[in-house]
Amino acid sequence: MNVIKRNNVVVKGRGSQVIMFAHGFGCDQNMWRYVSPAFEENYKIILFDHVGAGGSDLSAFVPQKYEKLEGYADDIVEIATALQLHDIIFVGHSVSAVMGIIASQKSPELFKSLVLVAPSPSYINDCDYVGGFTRPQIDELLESLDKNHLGWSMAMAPVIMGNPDKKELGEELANSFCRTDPAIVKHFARATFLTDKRELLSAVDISSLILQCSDDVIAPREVGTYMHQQIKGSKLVIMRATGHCPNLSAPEETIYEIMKFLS
Amino acid sequence: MDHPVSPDLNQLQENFEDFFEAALCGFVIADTQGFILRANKTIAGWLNLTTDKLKGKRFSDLLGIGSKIYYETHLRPLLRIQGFFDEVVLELSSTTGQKLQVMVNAFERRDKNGQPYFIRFTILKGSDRLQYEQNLQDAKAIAEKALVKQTEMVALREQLIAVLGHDLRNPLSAIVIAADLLNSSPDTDNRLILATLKRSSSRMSELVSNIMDFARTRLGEGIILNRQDAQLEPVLQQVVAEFKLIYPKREITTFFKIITPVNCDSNRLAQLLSNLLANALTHGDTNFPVHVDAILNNENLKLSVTNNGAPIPADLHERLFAPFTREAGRTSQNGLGLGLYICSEIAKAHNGTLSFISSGNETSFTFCMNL
Repeated sequence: MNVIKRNNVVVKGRGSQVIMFAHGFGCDQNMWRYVSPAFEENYKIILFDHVGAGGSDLSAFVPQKYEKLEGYADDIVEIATALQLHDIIFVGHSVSAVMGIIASQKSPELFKSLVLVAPSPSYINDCDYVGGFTRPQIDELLESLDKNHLGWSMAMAPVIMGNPDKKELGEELANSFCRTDPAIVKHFARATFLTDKRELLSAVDISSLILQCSDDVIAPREVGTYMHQQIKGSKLVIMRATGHCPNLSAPEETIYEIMKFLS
Repeated sequence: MDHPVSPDLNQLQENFEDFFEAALCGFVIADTQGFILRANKTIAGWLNLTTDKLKGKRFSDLLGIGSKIYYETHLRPLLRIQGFFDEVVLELSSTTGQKLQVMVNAFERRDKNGQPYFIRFTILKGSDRLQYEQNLQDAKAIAEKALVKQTEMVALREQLIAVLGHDLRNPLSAIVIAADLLNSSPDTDNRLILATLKRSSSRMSELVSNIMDFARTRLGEGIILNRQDAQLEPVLQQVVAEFKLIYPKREITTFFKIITPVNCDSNRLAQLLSNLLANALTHGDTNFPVHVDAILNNENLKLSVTNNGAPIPADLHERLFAPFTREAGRTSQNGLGLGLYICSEIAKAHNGTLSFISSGNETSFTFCMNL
């Protein structure tokens, strides 16, 4: 299988030090479009889409494999191996932060450091642990995902109608970014929100930066603090940025913090 | 819905303030972080709030939890990257917990350098349309399920025909050969040949009735009972007597204790016994007798058939009562694999159970029905 094609891997930049950006649940590598250019001068940039998202090969989506975050983490390792990468600085947003942790423990020889952007090891509250959500709330999310297709049906329309040459329809797409098959979104949501990887944190032994947003519904501040406590020698930065996607809402601050950590 | 009414209609024609506040859709203007700067009366009314109360809230605070997560993970990024999103279904959640399905368009106003100024949301009520969409989705799910069932049904029918063709041929050819023999030697003692004829033809008749029952239960309405108070013992004795005739060399012992009449379909219980007995005689060790016990007490009726011989292979246990379950490598003797399925259906129709114990050297099937 062609890993590069499968994950729509894009390699950019003029440096030799590798920095790999991984998008989270909800979009694709476009998530990094305001951040990654700042690293092009001095780094070798790796961007990719998780299987099922963006420009990835949807036919490679095997439900069983991607039931767990390990399946996605395996892909990260495979990309690194295929491109013969080493000493990787892995920047993972949201659920991809945890995938990076899994990958770095699976193949420690590949990774140099971790930048965890709005990460969470587990989204569901559990005794003293504040994950931010109750199980019924997550169930409600999984149910509500059926109702949106974000341009999916229209994107597929020309193909379904048997005249893929007819371009007009494709160009009139209401939502042309972050398109995903609703069935895959639901699957990814399960893997994301029903996962508990807290036990992995104490085993992280490479330098790590946690970027915690100040008003994040998805990963509340308690989670950032928890991760900081669990990951030995980690650095925690509470960003001014609000929301769950500082890479889009506050790219300058995100770039600044990553660069400060790397220098 | 109440629309504020102004006394002077002429004034209203150019009144954009009124157009905004009393629009037929909800309008929300939020800052770049999603905090509401202004919302119109329409959406405030839907949420049971005043427009002042809406000010300062996050747009995502107006949403149910599922929509909120969806908004944060999908829509906010989309808005930032693409500058807008259209036709997205979200669920508003009012202060009283009421849910309202809406269709939302949003647009990020940007300056010359592409920096965001503010965000506009247009919110349309969509309950009816979205309900219709939901109905379509449900109908699709139902149709898909029905298709799967039909496909299974077709497979079962095909299997039935294949097995039927194969298995009816064996007893049939035995009958033909026996008839030929009888025909060619009219003077010999024909008792054994006659027993063969009887055995083969009754086996065929059993197969045919099993097929009919299978067709009725699996592909139709299930087994229909004709229940009445019946003296069961003579009926069961009759079944045993027939088998003794068919298998003259085999020993069948009985222990019957059914004094009072039992409310049941006695023909069906005879069929059940017949199937169990045929199995026991076919699969059991021919050197040992087969036991038939039928005991009625105050609480229940128990009917069991026990034979000696190698136990039922463990890998068959789980699907023993499923149709077409047959022991590997013994197809010719095993029939259609419908017998136990029919027996369990007869038991179920009587609100009873059919269970088995098969270990060591003994296999025993028991039908138990509470009175």
